[in-house]
Amino acid sequence: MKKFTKEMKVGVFFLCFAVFYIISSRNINTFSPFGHKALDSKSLPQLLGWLMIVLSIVLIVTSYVKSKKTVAVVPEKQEKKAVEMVTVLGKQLPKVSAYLVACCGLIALYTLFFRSLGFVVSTTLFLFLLTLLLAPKDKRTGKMIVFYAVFSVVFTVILYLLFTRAIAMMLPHGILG
Amino acid sequence: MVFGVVMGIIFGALPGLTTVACLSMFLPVTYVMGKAMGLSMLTSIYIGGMSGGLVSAILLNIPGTPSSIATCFDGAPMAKRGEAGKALGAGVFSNLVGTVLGIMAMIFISPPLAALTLKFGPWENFGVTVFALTLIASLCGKNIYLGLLSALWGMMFSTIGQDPIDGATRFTFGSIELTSGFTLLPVLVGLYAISEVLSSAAHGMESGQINENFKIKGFGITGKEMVSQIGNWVRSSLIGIGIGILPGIGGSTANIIAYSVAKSSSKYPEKFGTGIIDGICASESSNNASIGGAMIPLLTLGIPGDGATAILLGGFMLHGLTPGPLLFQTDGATVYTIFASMIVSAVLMTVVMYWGMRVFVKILKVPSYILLPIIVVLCNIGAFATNNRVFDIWALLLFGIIGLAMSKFSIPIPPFILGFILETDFEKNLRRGLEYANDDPKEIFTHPIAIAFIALAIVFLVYSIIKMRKSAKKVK
Repeated sequence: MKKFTKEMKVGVFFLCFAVFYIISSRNINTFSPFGHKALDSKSLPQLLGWLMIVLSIVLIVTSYVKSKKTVAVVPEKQEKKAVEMVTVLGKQLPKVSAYLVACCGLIALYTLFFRSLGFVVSTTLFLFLLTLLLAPKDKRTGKMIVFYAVFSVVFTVILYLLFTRAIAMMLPHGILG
Repeated sequence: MVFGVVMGIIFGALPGLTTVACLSMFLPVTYVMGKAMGLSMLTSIYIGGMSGGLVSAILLNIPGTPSSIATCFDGAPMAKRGEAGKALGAGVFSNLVGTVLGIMAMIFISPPLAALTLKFGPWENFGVTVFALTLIASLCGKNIYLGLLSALWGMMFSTIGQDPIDGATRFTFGSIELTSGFTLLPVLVGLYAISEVLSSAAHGMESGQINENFKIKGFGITGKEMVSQIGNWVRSSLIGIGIGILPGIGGSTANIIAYSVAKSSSKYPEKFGTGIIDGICASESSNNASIGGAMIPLLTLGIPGDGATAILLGGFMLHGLTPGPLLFQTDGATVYTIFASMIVSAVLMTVVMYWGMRVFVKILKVPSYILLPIIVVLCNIGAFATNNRVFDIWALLLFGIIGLAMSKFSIPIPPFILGFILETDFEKNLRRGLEYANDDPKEIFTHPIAIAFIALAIVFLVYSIIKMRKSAKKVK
């Protein structure tokens, strides 16, 4: 029997979140100008927090009951999907999560340098790197890489001109400004 | 608008990229345009996206959007028999019928409903928000507790920042940027578009064998066949409109329900699934009819009916319009422009679909590793442009990851969005209602409409808990 079903994990997560939420809601300053006592800026968050606590407990309990019952009837099926592994920095990692982390990391880096490097430079780099990351191996030949690079530059410049000239929207100039 | 329709169809046709992603990408682009123009473009993307799904459903047997799942049932067998042209023709024409019927419903129902909702006070509005939240939580996904938790979670994120009534800062942890709270746009785009990009980046997009040999003559279907489908079209469109009006569920539910209703009321149910146009007509007319349906609560109450209309709501706000009963009075002209442009888009969609079918099939081959980075960049520009601060791009990434985690743990996303959008209304109206009533909560019982909504919400909640229990027993 699995000790924790997916739903129970979710329940525990929400329970912790709600407790944290309620604790931090105690710092809210309240202000009641005309002697109204019913609800102030603290009460609604606290109501939400308590509701969440109740609901997550219900979720944990119901899914616990369910998991017990289903286990009693159906013997557990062991389904193990073959996980594709890739080697990253000498470590074996599941392919899916490695890609995901890399992708998030790239977006985070992009965001980090968005202002300091400026839109044009950061976007060109980002487009190029993410395309390289996602492209399948047989599409990473020298010719294709040149194509990706040219494409990234052209696309970024077109976007930049479109937004700054046509809409007069401010995009960070960064080191090119 | 032609551009909007074309982009919508392309995104609808691409499996893995939904209309919502396309809408969120083009939100910033509408800055260039005026109010009416920009909003028309967004609605035309919505219509195009709903329609485009059928191309890949029929030719690839992969629904381009969840709204075209039922189209695969009969479309793919027809394509295998070499009748792809007929299937596509029937689908496109059904799209047209569905869209037009949906829009008509919207045009006739919205103004009187808006006039009615104008009279709503805080208690009534509070009742509506409670009703919408419980409805969406119980309709999305199998486990209602997960739906409710998701809605609560969304509401909690919305409490970050300033209190809507007295401006007290909440949950800012001393950060200046959190004081203004999370903006709707990064939250929406992150939850839908970025999480989609991340998950397709991790898993790779689906691709299949494309069946390229097909011909379309005229509408692809004969007049006789059209006549035989009239009953089916009307019924399926009504289903679509009805489901569209309910918050949280849209075309993706409508097409399956319409399909099964068409099947059970047909004289030859055994033929469904083997490749007959009845199935395609039911599915494709209902999903497009749900557009008009979903627009009704958006325009009259400011409550989005599904993910796509949630983005539309964002679009309205970007252009300085607040959807809700007042919209018809303050910006009547814009509303009617939108109505008119939706009809034009419906016709355009039909023309474009017939002419451009071959081109769309080619575009289906554009590799995902080129598309995905572009989507991220456009979303980032959109998020940045709302407030000109990098903080919103961080929020985008944060909600992208949250969205991914939520779909991994099968927590429905729509309740989260609706919770996030409606929290302010919920709190404002509850507190104002109490203040008007001199802190006496019993005063709500003098407002029958409000009580009716809350009672409906409770009934729905109890009903869906009972239903969930029953279905759990059946599984055993």
